[in-house]
Amino acid sequence: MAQSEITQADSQSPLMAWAMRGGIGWVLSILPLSLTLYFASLLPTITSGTVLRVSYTWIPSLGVDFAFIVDGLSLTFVLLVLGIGTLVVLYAGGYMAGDRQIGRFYLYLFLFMGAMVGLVLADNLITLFVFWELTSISSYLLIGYKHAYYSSRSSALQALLITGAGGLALLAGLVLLGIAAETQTISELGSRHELIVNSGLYAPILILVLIGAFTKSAQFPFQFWLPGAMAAPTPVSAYLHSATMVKAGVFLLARLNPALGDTPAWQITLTVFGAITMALGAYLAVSQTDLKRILAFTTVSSLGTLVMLIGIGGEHGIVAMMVFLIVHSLYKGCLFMVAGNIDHETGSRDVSILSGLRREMPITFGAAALAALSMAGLPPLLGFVGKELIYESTLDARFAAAAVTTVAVASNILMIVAAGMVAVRPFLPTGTTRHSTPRHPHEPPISMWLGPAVLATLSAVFGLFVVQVMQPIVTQGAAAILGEAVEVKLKLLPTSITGYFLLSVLTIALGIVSYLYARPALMQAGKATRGALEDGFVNGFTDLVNNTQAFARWITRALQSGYLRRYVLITIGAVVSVASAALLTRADLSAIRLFDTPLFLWETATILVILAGVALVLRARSRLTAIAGLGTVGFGITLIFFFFGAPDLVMTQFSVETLSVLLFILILYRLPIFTTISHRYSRLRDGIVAGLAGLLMTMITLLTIAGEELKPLTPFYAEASYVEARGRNVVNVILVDFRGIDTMGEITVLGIASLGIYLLLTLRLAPADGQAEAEDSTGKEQL
Amino acid sequence: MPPEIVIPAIDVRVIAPMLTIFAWATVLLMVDLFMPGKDRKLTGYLALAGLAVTALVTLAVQPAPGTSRTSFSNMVVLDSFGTTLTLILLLIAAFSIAISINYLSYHNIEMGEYYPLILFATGGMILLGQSTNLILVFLGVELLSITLYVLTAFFYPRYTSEEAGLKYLLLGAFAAGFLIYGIALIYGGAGTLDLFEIGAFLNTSLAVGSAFPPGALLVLIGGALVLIGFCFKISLVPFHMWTPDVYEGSPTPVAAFMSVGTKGAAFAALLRILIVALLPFKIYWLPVLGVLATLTMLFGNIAALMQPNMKRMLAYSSVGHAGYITIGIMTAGTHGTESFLFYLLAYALANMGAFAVLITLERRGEMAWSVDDFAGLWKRYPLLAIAMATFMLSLAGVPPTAGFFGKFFVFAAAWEDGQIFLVFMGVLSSAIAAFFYLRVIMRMFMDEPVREVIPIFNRGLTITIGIAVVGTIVFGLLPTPLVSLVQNSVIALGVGG
Repeated sequence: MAQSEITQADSQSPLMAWAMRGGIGWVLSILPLSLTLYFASLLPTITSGTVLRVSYTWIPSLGVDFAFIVDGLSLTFVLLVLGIGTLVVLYAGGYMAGDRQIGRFYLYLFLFMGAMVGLVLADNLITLFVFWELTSISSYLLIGYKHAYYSSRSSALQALLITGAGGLALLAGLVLLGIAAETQTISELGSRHELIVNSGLYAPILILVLIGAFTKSAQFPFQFWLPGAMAAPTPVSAYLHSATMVKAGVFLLARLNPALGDTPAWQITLTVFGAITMALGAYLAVSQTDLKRILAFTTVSSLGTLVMLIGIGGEHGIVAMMVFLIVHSLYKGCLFMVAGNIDHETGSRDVSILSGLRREMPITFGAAALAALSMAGLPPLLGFVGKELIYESTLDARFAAAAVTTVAVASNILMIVAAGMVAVRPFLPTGTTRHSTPRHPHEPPISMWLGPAVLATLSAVFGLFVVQVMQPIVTQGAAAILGEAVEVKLKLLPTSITGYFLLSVLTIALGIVSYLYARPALMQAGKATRGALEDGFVNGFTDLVNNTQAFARWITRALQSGYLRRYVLITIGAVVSVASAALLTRADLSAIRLFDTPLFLWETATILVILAGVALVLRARSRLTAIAGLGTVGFGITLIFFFFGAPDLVMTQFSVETLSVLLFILILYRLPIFTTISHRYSRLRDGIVAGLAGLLMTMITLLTIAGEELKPLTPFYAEASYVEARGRNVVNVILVDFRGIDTMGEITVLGIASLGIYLLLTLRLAPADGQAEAEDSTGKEQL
Repeated sequence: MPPEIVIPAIDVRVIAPMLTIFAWATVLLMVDLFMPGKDRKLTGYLALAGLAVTALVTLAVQPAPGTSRTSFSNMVVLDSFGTTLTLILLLIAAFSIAISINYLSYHNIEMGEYYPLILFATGGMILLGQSTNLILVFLGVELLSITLYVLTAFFYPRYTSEEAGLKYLLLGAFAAGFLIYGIALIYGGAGTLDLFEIGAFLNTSLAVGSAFPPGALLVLIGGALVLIGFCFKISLVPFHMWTPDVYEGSPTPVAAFMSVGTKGAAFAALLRILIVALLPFKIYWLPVLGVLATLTMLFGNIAALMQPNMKRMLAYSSVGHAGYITIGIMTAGTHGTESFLFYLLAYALANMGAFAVLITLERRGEMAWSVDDFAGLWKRYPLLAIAMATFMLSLAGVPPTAGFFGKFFVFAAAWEDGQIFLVFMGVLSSAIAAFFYLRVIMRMFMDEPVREVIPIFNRGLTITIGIAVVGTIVFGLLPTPLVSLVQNSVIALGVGG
């Protein structure tokens, strides 16, 4: 309570008010901006082919170092993360203006930014994993930022569970990889490719690493969490769930390509899953009506494309992947911010009611149009270069080139449709009557249009100056992924008519036609299959979680009844199984001799009496009878001791039996009425378990006496008693000499106990209260 | 000719830590008796002083790394493993007392004998860590168990506490029966209770012929029963059933003490028994422990999933953690043992801290400990929420906390030992566990408060939570010093792979 009052008071100061209106974004963006500039200053060094490394010892005993590497691949990612990060920080200032908890938001955002930078720069498997998990956690916090909404919380949890589970798989994979390669340093893995592939651990490593990467980068069949993550505020969607974090999986695959790549398993898995994701994402995108969901599904599709390109591999595939990575980050970051602007200004993200915003939001429209052209792959934007390279590599794929190319063309056609839906429909007049939106739109403040405008412009500039800007860094990035130097020649426009140029033309033509005429049909088809392809995964996952919870409840109830009798039953059951396992595997049961001495009449009679006592206990209808039965058993055993000449045991057993029977009778009156509460079947079950336990104990006893090696101690005492202790009564000698200290201890204990009893008897603490409570509690015990 | 009485040379240094703590506890019991007034805080502070003195004594007598001293006819050993464990146990006991001092008076159960009982139990734990003879092992187990039966039922006149005490007593007596019966069978088979001699006996007797000698068979069955006795103490599934009921019923600091102290000491003793005495039987106990560890990890974590009661959730989580520690001692080649010590400390810090946070929210006369009380904690008490989040993350094994490296070491050791299936099950159950630990974090950071709960802070709680947070994070970021400490401790155990 107190905190919010302070905020209220502070927000009245001019500085605070300015900060709340979005000024804070300008201030905070200085940090990522300066970092961007710093890393940009490394560009000349890196593009000349140098690789920078720093390393700090962290846990030397495990070979874990805090190691970082700056090469073409990591620098590309760092610049994307920090550069787009700068614009997003700025954008969020405007978008979230007035949000009282914006401090928390920025905290999470910077946490994520740091984690992401650490992730892409890491040169040690464990370091990489630590940052990987940090991105998952900060993503979770950001998706759940609007925590008042149930959907936010559940989407956040869904994303965390999936990426968290993937993270665990990844950890296992990375540890295995470290074992197989005998190093944790990522940049050394490439030279040990043979060692890793032939180690026998390759298959588990591959599966585990791919699970990690696929969950993070929303690849089929884990693609469903990403659209759910759109519950996050739009700056987060623009940043984490399109431009940066979801590319971490792609980054990981690229990073590990020298170590794990270049095998049929790698190529086929990545190509197939990538292609499926690409097609599925594009197909589902065009049937959406929510701007952010359209963009989310196209992101899924693009991530699929990137994974597929890594799978296709080779120089073509990798160069295409590097270029498309930059292409996608630029246009998708822009389009998400555009979607945010539309939502912010109109209060709606539904493309079926938005139209004609061009007039009110001209700058946003310009940015959206440029980005959409890049997305559609039209020259002279960078997207065109990307699309050309994709076709070049799919045509060149080592297997199923025709199928892969077909899927790519189809997906790209759908992407053009989606681009139109996002950037054309809301802005241009549709001819029909204009729907009213919840708010009347204006151009948003500069902080909100600067980001999209810069990114859109860069899409154009990078396209026009593709040789000067893109070629050097792409060369080094591809070299890092391939693990060898490559020569890359990028060009904006083809110098001759090639197959892939024709494909581009075909794609664009079909794309425009589909946008104009096939959209309703696509929408219809998407809606018809939505149950299986879109909701099916979400429901499947929800069912999995719910079933786990139901299972947890069931098993807890079954095992944890709270009844002591049940606990004892389970325990005895387990003991019987563990001990009899030991017994049955190794015991020579033939050594057991049941009747090697003749059984005399009185022995037989005593045993029958004992058995009768047991039967009496079992059939007893009152406690007194049961105790009488137990007493019969005990005194019967005393008799047996007597027959076999063990007078000291007889004495002990006799006193113990007498004492316990007396004690039983004494407390009998305090116990509730004796009733049979168990069912017949549960008694039968108890009987079986008890019988087995008795059988086991009997077997152990018989085995103990069957061992011939085991010599009894009696001769030793008989001989030593007189010689060493000068005593003729062996029992006496044992008690006072051989076990002298024992006996002294016993006497001491008895002394202390009687002292205690004497004190208790003399104290007489007010008995009335204590008794009343004791009686109360016995009634409630569940024993 | 009177026989010559030879008194074996006794090296008092070997039992100096135990001697100190038992003497202190006995004297404290007397001092408390004559202390005027109802306020028993001074007894608590004196007990803390006793722990500090014991720690100093332990440091003073600790042997050089790699060496060890034995005494009392080789029944007790003082090695670096023992002293490291002793120091960890003393820390745990100190935490338990620190969080108890105000708790007892707040809940009207302030009685002076509480603190000596904790000291006695700690002494029993130290004995468990140092004994190399089965009789002493039994002595240690009983010493700590009997004191804990009393401590469990300390929340007089709360029914759940009494019920917990009774359940614990009955099942504990049951377990003690298995333990002592097993020890008797081992003695019958091997003719000795010395761990090293049992190992030597098994080696010679198994080496003779292909047939399984009856003596070794008795040791095998006895070993199985001893194992079961220990399974109770470390609450492995299906011998864990007392754990949630007892933790829930007993005073919260006692539950905290049991959840880490008892487990740690019992594991240490089991480790010595398995590695020193029963190593020739590794082919038998390895699969059994493997199955139990798997069941424990799965059940403990699955059962914790749906617990709305924080105390029970922590109880199940402690069951789950027992599974991970079991992996550590199963693979007790050199790395397994050090992973055990590391895991124990990481777990102790996080679990103690979590229980301490629970105590700050525990209200007089209430028995709810609902997760709801954590809802929205971040908004009201951000530091407390951050502390709790740190503990939850460490228990879940998320980097960069000590818990992460604990799990990492255990799994790495198990992998080196070839226990691939166990590693798999461990990772799987960690994934399940992450769910409920993170749910607590989610409630704290994302939900609105369900009801107004005002935490109670006092010096003991604040210091405990502070040390636990700092330790959890520091050992998570810089585990190296701790790793070298436990590595040195393990050399002395005399275990080869």
